Amino acid sequence: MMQTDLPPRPGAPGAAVDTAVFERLLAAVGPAAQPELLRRLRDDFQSHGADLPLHPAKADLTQVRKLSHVAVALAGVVGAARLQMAATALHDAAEHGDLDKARQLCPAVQEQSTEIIAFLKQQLRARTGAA
Amino acid sequence: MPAPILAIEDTLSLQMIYQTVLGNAGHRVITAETAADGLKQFHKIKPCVVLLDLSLPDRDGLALMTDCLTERPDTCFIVITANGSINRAVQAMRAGAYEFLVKPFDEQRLLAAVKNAQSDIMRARALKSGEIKHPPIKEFIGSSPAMRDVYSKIRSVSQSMATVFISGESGTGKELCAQAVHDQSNRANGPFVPLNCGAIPQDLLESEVFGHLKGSFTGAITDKPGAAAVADGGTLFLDEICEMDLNLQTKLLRFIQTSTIRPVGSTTARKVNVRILCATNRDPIEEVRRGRFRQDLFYRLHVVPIHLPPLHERGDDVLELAEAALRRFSQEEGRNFTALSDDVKQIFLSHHWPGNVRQLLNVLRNVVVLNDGPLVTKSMLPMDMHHPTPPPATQTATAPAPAEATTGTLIGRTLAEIEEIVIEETIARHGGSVPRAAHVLDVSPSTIYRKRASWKKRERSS
Repeated sequence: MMQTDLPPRPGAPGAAVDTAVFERLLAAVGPAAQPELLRRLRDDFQSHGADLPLHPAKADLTQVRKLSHVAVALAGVVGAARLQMAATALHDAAEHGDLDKARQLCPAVQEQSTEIIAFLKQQLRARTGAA
Repeated sequence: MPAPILAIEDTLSLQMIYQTVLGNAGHRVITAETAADGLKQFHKIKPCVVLLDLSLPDRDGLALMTDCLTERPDTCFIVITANGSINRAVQAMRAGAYEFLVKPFDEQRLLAAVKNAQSDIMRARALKSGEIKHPPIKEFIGSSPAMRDVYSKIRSVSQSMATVFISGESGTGKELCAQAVHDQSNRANGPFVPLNCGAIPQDLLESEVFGHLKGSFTGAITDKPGAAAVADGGTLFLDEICEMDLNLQTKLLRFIQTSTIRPVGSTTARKVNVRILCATNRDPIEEVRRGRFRQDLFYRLHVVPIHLPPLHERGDDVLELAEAALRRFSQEEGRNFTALSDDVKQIFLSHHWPGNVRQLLNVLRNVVVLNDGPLVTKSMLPMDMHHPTPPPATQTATAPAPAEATTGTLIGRTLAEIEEIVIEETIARHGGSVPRAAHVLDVSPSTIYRKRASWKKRERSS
């Protein structure tokens, strides 16, 4: 891994990811597993966050509940506190059948997931040259 | 070689994290993405420890766990659930889960949970095979497997600084357990300060815990150190911790996090070195679920749980305890009791003992004071013990089914009389336990203690 090629770290308040948490996660899995983990996280954020329906129907609420449940866990794991809160609120709304609230929250969760994916791609590029 | 850990998790990145973190700590891990695959692996590798995500794509994780535990009840299921799903955590624990972890992932908690699970499994196996023996700790009497497990935990935990959370029905010896942990620790020469959070009025509890300055409130006529300051260098035991109100729970959490106390009325904080033990006879997870106990405080306190089994689950311990109590009370009361008759032994072994050890001691004290030896016979026992008692439906915080209304006997009485009748009847139904009765009546125990004190005062003056 070429440390000098790593992108600037978003560490300021309000940044998408808490770098202390993120670096601790990477340290926990070790350098050999980091690229594969970043790929899996990228794919999981895509399928459980970025691919959420923007305007869900009533029938979609079960799926929204399942996806947001995983999004909560993923966000927490990488240190994305804002996304974790948004996904938690979306999960609660879906669990209680509150379609209006779910519709309000889906775009935020989707947008923030996309931001995290961009961050993960940068990290992956820096470590392997691929995204 | 120990069996691998089975991790049943459908999110691939999380699966990889568990596998890598546990693998780096020396554990072998097999993963499964679905309930069906998880069940297949469960049959194939026969794991002792299973990490289970409750939300699986093809089946409810809880149902899977129940099926697995039916086949192999000794398996330790560590259930993982999203933050906020405390209801699911409660369900999982009641269904037999060993531990639950809340997402997001915390490496240290995961490793600690797995390590504790594996240690408990090895200890249970060694106890079962007789490889290791755990003599009773001096405060306790009883050599049943359930209590040997408790002694082993007390010995393991006493040397650390970890907070111990003692649970168990009323009368099972929770304060004794706390004293034992303190006595076995390297703080044994320091103070052991017990505080019953249920017996003190809520508006005075903060002052009791943290102390107060003179003049800080009406009645504060001198400075007073709180229990936390008195326990400096030793152990603070908070009994009935679930009786503490939410406001004080917040201050307790801050104390645990910072090791500083600020007496009521003071502007300066002071550092203390205190080890905390706590106890409750309620179901703490249920209290968290109902919003009566802070979840973050629970996680801070529930580091090492020790559960004291009810007396009816301790087998022959009831006879060991009874014989020891008989000897002690006979000496104290100047009687010559030496043994229990065979039918008394049978009654003791089959009795449910809702008041646990405390109830047993009360019965024996009663027998010794009112009779003479050398043998305790059936006729000396209270009438209600002459027939087998059916066990209550549940042993936890769930209230017993309400009795049929007997309004006929209440009509014509004052409200105060009705209140006294209902309170005393509820206490009697719960083996004489005021905290259990208070829980059923949804008031704090200190409310009931105050009322009883005022009734006694009224009786004396009339």
